[in-house]
Amino acid sequence: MILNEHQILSRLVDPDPERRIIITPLVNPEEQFGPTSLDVRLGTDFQVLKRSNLTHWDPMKTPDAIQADLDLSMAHFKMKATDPFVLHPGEFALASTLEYVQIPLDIAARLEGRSTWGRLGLQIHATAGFVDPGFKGALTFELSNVSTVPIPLYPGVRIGQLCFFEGATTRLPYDEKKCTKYSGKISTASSAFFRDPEYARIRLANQEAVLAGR
Amino acid sequence: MLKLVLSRLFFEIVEDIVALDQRLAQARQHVDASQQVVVDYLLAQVDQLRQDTLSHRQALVSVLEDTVAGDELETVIYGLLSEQLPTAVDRLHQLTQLLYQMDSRQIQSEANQVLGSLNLNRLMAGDNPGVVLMPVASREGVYLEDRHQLRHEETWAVVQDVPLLSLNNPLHWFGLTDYFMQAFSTRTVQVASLIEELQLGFELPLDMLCPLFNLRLLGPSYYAHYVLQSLKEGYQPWFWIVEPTLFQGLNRFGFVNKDLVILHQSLEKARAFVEDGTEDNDELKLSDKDREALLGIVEKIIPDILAFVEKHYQRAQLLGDRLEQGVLISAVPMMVNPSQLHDTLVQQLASDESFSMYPLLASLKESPAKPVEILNAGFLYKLEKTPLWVRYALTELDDDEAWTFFTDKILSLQNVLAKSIETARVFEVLDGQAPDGPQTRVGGPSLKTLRQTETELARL
Repeated sequence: MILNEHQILSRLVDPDPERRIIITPLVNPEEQFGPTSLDVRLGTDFQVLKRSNLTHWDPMKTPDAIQADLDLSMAHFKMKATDPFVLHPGEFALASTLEYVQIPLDIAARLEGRSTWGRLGLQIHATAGFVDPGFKGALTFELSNVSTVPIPLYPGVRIGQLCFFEGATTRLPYDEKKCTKYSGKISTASSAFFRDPEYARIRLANQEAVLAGR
Repeated sequence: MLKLVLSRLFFEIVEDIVALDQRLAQARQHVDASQQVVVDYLLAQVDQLRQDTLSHRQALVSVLEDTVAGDELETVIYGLLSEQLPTAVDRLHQLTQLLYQMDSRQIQSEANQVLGSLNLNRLMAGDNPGVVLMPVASREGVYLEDRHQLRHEETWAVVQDVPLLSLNNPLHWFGLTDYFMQAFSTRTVQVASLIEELQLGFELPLDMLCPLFNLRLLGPSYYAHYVLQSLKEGYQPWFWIVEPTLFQGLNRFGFVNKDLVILHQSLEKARAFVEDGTEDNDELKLSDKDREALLGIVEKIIPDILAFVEKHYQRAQLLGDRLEQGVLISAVPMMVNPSQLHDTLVQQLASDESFSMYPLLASLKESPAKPVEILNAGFLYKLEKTPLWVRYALTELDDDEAWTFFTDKILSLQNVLAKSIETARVFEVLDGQAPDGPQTRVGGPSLKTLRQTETELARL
């Protein structure tokens, strides 16, 4: 069941901390509330891929080596409250919500764009708009400008909205599931794809194949 | 009580070692190949320092767990306070000096936001002071007046040295106003004349007032910062005269906090074990009445509108509750009780489904936290938790686990505080609040500017 505005409000002030949705800072709830959604704002830190001679992300390297590749390849920008980050046509950038978000165990959420920005060609996530029950931290935006005009993005503008779905209480909250990689992050975090356990197994199989002379 | 001081002092040193380790890791990424070997050497030295510091765990645990008593207890405490922990601090400074030449020395932008929010310029009617943050290795204080001062008496600036290990640690930013306040204490005619009117019977060094002004400006956590830094670095001049006055100031300004009271009470016990450096200042004796009078002057000079007052302390305590839950503390929660709001919503829905939600939503609005409220919440949280963290890590975990535990606690708290300050600034702008006062040169200058400043310093 998707929560309506009364139900979202009710969850934000629920006397039971276990059932409460936490979103802070709540800068102006009157502007942020919709019939079944709550707008969220753009944070201050951004990451974009630099041009480099790195040909591809090689998951067969060691995790530390891939992390080093990522560190070298990502440019980090921290914008002041009054300075825009300009997203150029065709560019992809990571950012995060200004808000810290905490979702109770019987709620899942979806992060969606706002039509105001969609009309300018801004997409706020590539594929990962789902927020698990028990999530704590800042949500990641995967920003793309699919128009032909650069888009200046000021920290604090409402570029996304969250809608909430109530269900049965999970016993596997996001921060307790195996292989969780982004729990508790309060800033923009780049991908940790190489920490997925499948890659460890594939790396091992590759090494064994090499040793066996195959 | 001494065990609390010991565990807090121990944690301060751990905090610095973690900071050194972090800066070395950063340096490793930007130094050239010829310097890599030096960074690797320093990393090995820091690892040794970490092991040496943890090697005192048995002594520390014996005090924390009350397994020694009498003379043996005194010997252990004396060893920790006068020999082992100071040795670690000395080593920290040596290694920091070595790192200094290779460090990027970038000042975190949030430090400037803290300074900017204090509106120091408004303390000086008609004057135009400023503070420039300048990274230094450690200990070596650099203080100069801007060259402008040579031409225009009314215009001056202070270069505030920020030890390398404090650059990224918001909990150390209570020291950011030290040099400004020293200059302010000694240069402001009003301060001198008010002190003279007191007729103390001796000449009070005016820079002694600097911590009192800082307390008024920065809030109760300044007291704990002052005490812990003094204990760690060896005593400040006039420590035993200033500290009781600061403590009295906590009461006067309405900053009642049990951890600060305990810290104060434990100091007298610690005094027997450390050099107190008061031999030159024995003639300075302040009665309770003198202290009250001095605090009255401080209140007069820094009016409520610029000071950290009881209202800010209450807001900082609300932030502390959020910190306990691991939540970002950029905003002070609504003042309405959530349960009340929930009940009102339920009642309204039951009686009139067409009611407007907007009045309820308006009461949900948070207010942006001031940087200094965020810092106070963070420091008081650390003060409360440190004895528990130290005891748990040293009694339940092995060396590696304990260090990982300390590092996680330290870095996550620092990250939350810095992120909260940054987020609060965006909130302020969205809330239509005026930008910070015209702080003439608040801010981390570029490295080029710093080098110019250093050259000018050398010339002076």
